[in-house]
Amino acid sequence: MMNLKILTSAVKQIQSIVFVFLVQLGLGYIIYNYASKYFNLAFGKSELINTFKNGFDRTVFSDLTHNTQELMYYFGKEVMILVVVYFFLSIFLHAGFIGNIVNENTSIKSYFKNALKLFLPYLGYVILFLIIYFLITIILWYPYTTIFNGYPFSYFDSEKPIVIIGALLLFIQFILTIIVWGLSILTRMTFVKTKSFLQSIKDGITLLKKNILKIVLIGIVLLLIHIFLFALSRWLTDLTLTNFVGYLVITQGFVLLRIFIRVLSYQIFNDKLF
Amino acid sequence: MKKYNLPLIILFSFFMANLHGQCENYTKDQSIKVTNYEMDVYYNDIDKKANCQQKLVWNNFSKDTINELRFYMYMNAFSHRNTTFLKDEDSKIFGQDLETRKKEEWGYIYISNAVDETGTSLSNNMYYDQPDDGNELDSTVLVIPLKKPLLPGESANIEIDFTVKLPRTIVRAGYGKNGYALFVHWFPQPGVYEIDDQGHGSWNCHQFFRSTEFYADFGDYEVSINLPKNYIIGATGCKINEKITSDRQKVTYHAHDVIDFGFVVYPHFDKYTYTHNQTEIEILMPSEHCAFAERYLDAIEKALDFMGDYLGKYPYPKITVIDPPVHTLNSGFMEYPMMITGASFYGIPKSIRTVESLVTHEFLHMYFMGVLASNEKEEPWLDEGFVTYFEDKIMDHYYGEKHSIINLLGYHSGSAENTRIEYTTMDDPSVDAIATPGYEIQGPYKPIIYSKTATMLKTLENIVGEKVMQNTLREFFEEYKFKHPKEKDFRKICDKVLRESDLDLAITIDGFLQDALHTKKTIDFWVEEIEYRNNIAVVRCHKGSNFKVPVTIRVAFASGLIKNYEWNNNLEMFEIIVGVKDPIESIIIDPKFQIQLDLNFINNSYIINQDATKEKAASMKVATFTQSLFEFLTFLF
Repeated sequence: MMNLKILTSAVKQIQSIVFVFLVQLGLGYIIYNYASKYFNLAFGKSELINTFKNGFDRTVFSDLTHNTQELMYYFGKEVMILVVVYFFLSIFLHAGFIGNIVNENTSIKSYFKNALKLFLPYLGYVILFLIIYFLITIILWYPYTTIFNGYPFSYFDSEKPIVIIGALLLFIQFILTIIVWGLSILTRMTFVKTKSFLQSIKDGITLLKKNILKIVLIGIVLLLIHIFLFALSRWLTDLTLTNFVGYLVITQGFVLLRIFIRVLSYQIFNDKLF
Repeated sequence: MKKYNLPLIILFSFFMANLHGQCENYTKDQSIKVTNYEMDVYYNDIDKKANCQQKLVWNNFSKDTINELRFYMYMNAFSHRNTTFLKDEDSKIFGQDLETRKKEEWGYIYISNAVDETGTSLSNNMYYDQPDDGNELDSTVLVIPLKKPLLPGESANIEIDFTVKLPRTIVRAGYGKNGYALFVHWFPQPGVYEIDDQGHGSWNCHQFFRSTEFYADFGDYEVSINLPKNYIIGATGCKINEKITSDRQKVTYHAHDVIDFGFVVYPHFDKYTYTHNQTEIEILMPSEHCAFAERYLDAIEKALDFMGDYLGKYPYPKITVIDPPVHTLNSGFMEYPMMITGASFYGIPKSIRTVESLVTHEFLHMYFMGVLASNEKEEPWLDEGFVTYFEDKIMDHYYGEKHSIINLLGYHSGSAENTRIEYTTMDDPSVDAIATPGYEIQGPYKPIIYSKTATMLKTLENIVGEKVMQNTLREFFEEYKFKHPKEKDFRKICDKVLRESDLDLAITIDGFLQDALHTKKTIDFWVEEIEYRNNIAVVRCHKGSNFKVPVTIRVAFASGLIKNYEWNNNLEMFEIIVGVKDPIESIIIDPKFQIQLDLNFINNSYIINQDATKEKAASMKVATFTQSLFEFLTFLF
């Protein structure tokens, strides 16, 4: 059970949490600007933007995307650049958090110091875990996808096993995703003290075995927040000025909560580390 | 939506079907029967061959003396890689590699003997012809010269012994695993002897092409099928007799007023029968698909009800729905008189109604192809296009206009809107005119023949109104049922019905149909930026082509005044000139989106002072979604 000390320690990271939140807000604002420019150019003076903002409409969506492919390509390139920037930024931001928590620092200054110090090794970790993750995914799915390549359906008596195996693989993928995510966190955390790449992986695996339930639980909570935010955007069909502000506050509130939950999880694991 | 207790339905329906024998009481003389058949089939399920005897009566209703009969021998389309059906296909079709196909997996039809009523052999002089492409390797059209010319009003009585070897299913006909076999286009079938407008007669008997299948005369069929006892059979028509011996069964079917006959055999079918408004619905499906039985029933019932009200009563006593097992899924998605093949896949949720839309589509072919037996090879739009139009109507009517096909996790789409999008998102929507013969289509077949036609018909309906459209289609159906209608017949009915209500509209619609059917023109309405000069404002509306289509332009002014301008000519541009005292607030071409053929609805309107909050709201949603997506995708970091 989570004790008050862990919660208090997590709250003490408030400066860093606010900083990361502001970075996310900035990112959101950049995307907002891109989207705004795109809609402005794509819809022009059309009344159909009204239909679009009220919720999903396949006709409008199709007419929009099909007739603005050049625009989409242009903004797609911009977004891709943003993805690359966010890739590095994300490593940096979490390096600051982990460094601060393991070293029991709380200031924003130490946050940056830790982030700078840990960025390169953590980049190595991320690349390693990305490779592991993609390899696992390929090994998991490749034999299955061959069923759909060629004409292997003709060898099956029924499609029922294909569907059930597919569902099972999805579940395994979900569990593996959380495991790799947990391992990625725990190895990075142990690295702060051990400074050894191999040792940290070894320790990370040991810690993962001990904390697997917590990791799965935190993973599910974070996933549920994503699903909630997605559902919220679907439910809210008629954005007026009032619910526009409300929507902004709720979504960004959950962004903040998401960051806090991740800090809290680092704090929980740190408590078990050494 | 109605809910059914499936086990009860099955019990009840077995009982009902056996008690009443719906096939007993129905009209058997609805058509002029040019060709009548009696066939005996002995099926060997080991080597996938059927030895058959056919007694054929072909009636010469023309004023010509006939010297030869021409037959479809379509099973030969699957006899090798270079048939007209297969030669232009990629080496892989439905995932099967045709290049490495085993010899025993090919199929054929072979006539060993044909004699006339005097016992004179006709098989010595028969030969294959390739009237469409001259491909000498194609054996899908057989010519049998008659020993004695057939005078007007006479009948040819011919007995044919033939063998059908089924291919391992490439598409539609053939065999699959565990005994599954679909017999379609499996017997020698005469083409249609047509009389043109000048009174000249000739055979219309095309080779088998990939996309088009049907054009045959109406007739009666009596078909006896002898096969191993453990098989379940589904067929065109009604079962009238059944004899079972120790290891075999012989089942006889009757079908009246139909243009073709097909049957399926499989030992592992579950059979569901049900009666709805005196029509017997028989569903054959593998047991893992049992959850779809209710959905099939529901869809067929809805289609029966809708078409009965809208167009005319389903004229046959029975419909058989075949749901193929997964190993022969490529035999699905098709229609044969009184028998259709659907396609389902274990686990498709009810919120994805592809199963319903497919079975509805195939059932509608009983009207367009089955009863209005147009020439699918030469005028496929009269068949697939009308079917798609009605499929959209039925799906959207019963399941919701923008939700009828998919309604899942906030994503939704309707049948008619999907159809329009399939046309508007083509790489080149102007690649083919609608009224192009099936074998001459250059672009993708389905978006043109199915979707463009259905979208054109929807546009027509929006212009003339639902009631006039219904009257037109009903009259077309009544006038041409059990005949071979052509484009001119449809247009003649359109013109007649429209002239009764609005002469000008009739003329406009004639121009619209001419452009829609015979030109490659497309429509894209858009509004040019308003030009202000002196004390006037000039609005220019564009159409993208000179397509003749009536459309309304709605102009709203600052004072609240709204003016509608009717743009009925075929000019590419329409100019509106107004004073500037009452400034324009908005211009909308086609405010009710009646012209569904319009390639892009986004640019139809021009709002002078666009409300920026709408754009902001849309951008906001995108931003928060992307923000969350980024965070999600970078979970490892």
